[in-house]
Amino acid sequence: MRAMLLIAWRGFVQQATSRAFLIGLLLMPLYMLIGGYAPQVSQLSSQQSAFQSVRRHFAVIDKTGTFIPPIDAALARDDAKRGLKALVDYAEKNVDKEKLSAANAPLAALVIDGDPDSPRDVAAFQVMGGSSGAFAALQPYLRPGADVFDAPRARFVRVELPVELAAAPDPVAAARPYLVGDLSMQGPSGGLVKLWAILVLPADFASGKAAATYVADDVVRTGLRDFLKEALSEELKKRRAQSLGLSEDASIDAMSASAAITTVDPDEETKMTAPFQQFAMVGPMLVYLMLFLAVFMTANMVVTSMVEEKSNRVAELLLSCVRAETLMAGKLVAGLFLAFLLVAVWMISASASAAWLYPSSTSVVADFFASITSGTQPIMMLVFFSLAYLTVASFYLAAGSAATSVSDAQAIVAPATLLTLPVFLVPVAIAFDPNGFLARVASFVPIVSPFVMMLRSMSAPPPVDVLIAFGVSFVTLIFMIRLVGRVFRANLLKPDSTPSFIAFIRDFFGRRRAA
Amino acid sequence: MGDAVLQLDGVTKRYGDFLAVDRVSLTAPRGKILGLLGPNGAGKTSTLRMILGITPPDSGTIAVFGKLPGRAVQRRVGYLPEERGLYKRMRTRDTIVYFAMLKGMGRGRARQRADALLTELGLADVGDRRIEALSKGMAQKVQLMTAIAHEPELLILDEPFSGLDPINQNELEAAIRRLAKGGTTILFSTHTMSHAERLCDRFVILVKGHKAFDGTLDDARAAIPRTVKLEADGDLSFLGAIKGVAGVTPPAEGSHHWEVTLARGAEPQVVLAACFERGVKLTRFDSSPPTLHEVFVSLAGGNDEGTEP
Repeated sequence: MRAMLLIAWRGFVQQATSRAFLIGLLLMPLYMLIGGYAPQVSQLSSQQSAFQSVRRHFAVIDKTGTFIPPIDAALARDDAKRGLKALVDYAEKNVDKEKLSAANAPLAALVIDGDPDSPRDVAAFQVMGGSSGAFAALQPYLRPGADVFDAPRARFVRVELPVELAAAPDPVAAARPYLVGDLSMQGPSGGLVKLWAILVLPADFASGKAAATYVADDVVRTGLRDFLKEALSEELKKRRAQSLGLSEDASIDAMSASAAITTVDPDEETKMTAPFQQFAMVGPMLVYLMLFLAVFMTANMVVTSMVEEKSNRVAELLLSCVRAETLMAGKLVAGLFLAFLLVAVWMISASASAAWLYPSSTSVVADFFASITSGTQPIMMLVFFSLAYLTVASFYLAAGSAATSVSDAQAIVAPATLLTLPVFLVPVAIAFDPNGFLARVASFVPIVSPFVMMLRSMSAPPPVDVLIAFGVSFVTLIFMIRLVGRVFRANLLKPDSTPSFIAFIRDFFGRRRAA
Repeated sequence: MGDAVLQLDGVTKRYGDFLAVDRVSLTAPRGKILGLLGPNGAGKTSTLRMILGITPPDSGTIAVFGKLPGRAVQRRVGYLPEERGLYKRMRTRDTIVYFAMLKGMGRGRARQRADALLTELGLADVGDRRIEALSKGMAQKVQLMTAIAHEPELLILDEPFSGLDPINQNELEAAIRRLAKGGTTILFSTHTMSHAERLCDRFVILVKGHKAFDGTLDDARAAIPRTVKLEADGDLSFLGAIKGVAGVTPPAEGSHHWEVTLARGAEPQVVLAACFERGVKLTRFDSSPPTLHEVFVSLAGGNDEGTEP
């Protein structure tokens, strides 16, 4: 035992201080940071594109003479809605909410609890002066060092057609050079702008007898068209309501009606929050993938270390000191220590990354880790992780003992891994139903068993499943170690040739006498 | 031999269809240096690996300190393999300590031994250097230190002089002598006869897997017919007819070197007397006993029957 631990410790120290291991150890946290930061960048970018999008300038030829004002009002509401959303997001990070709530309840109601999809809130925001008015009112309640508020600019701007175009017999035809980008026209702020679209409302549009025409060179990006359709539809509904005898206020009120739905969790005992439930679904999968990677990464290191000792001719010296089984056990245990170290560092990194990038999720992640590390779950996870690692690493070790170089070892290991990869990825298929029928069946299949149980350990599987799976995994491992031991002893002192993958497999299963 | 440290009896080892070791028996007396000689592929390394318990024999018995090879006796045996190998990134002192500890020595004692050996073999100033930074000669010395750091009673050296320059060969010879003087039984394999001749108390010569000779240097000399080397301008073929001469080998083209093989028990003087009587003017007369090299070549160069003293 002492000799085995000595070999394990030396192997652990040598590998843990190797560049390859350190790179692997640190790359994962880096990937986690990038992975965690990417959604933020994406979100920020989508927000920016939403808030600071390219403006679409359009003109309206209104032969009814009555629809320009409601279109302008809709444009103003759209600006206000986007402004309110931006201010609510801004307030989340930059406003002293307690101070604001205490001093200015109406403003707090808007910027803390405001709903950009609520017509009432949007209207209130407009009354307050829109983005500039509300931000001015918010100044006394900003936290020290608060960011500058970047109010979104209008995404759609109505422009007047030049007089000569408006007076043309066919204004749309006359405006063609502007629509296709050959000519630019004067924008509202004085600069030249491209005319994106022209909306033509025929004289009997209000009666519903004729359709409006949307003329644009780009008919794929339909944001402006959809906006105009909604604005016109809203105005038509309002007019219809009024024609039925409703007052303007009543018709606005009727059109503002929306259904409210409150979410209730019937499983009160668990007291799981919605974010926690979301994380609880993906969390085990992430942990499993981490463990899976650790298994294969350290198994690969065991191969490298074995090949190195064989090619360095240290193997023979070691065998004069200890039995082949002791050497093999030392190698496997060294890899197991490395795997534990990897998982520990990765877990801590994952938690730290989540806490740093998503401060609001800290408690969610902490709750998740508390849930998977309570009771016997961590022991289960540890045991099945170890069994999974030992099963894979022992096969890899046999390959390492048979090979004369790392590339030769990979020529044996890679096909085996590729052939069995689907098996190791079975847990991915059962991730969202870890205690379902497929999961239970897979738990009892040799070799797959410890991998499935690594995942299921986080979902409190029935004790009988755990016992049977442990038995299956343990017996499989013993069988594997016996096969590996034979190959290991036979090949370790054969420095000159590497068997082919097929020959190795035949040796492994004892179909050919290992000389 | 009651005081035998090592005893092999009819040991055989096959690798598939290849017979590597064929019914070899030998004994290594305590405190002696036993040379295991043989040409390449004679089965020396296979024999040593079986003695170490690295590979089991197919038949026959091996007793090391009266026990089967393996864990029980590994701590009492040191081994310097033919294929030298150390961890390149490990420091010199740590390497010696590590292998001594694998042999069961405590860390503190292993450190003391490592320092003492580094000083003794002139490498005290490279104790903290990585193995990869050492010269080949230095690395070979370190390899020897890993074999002897745990103070083994039986030291097995497989081709210990291979790859060493003459100065390091002399140092290694001196180290082996010191160890033997200290009571360590040494078994070493080589195909360099000069070292074996100088160092060994006994020799075992393996040829194609089986034992061709087992005995002392005198036994070895007696094992092959004695020869006399002569140089003369005239024809010496008449020597083949005199009593006591078993054969005459004439000189090669352009040479005057004759070789006369004596019959068992005959003295070289009979050749000298015959030349004198014939009035042959000899320019060289060499009746030195055969060297181990000659014995080796004689035994390994075609005589597969083996010779026992």
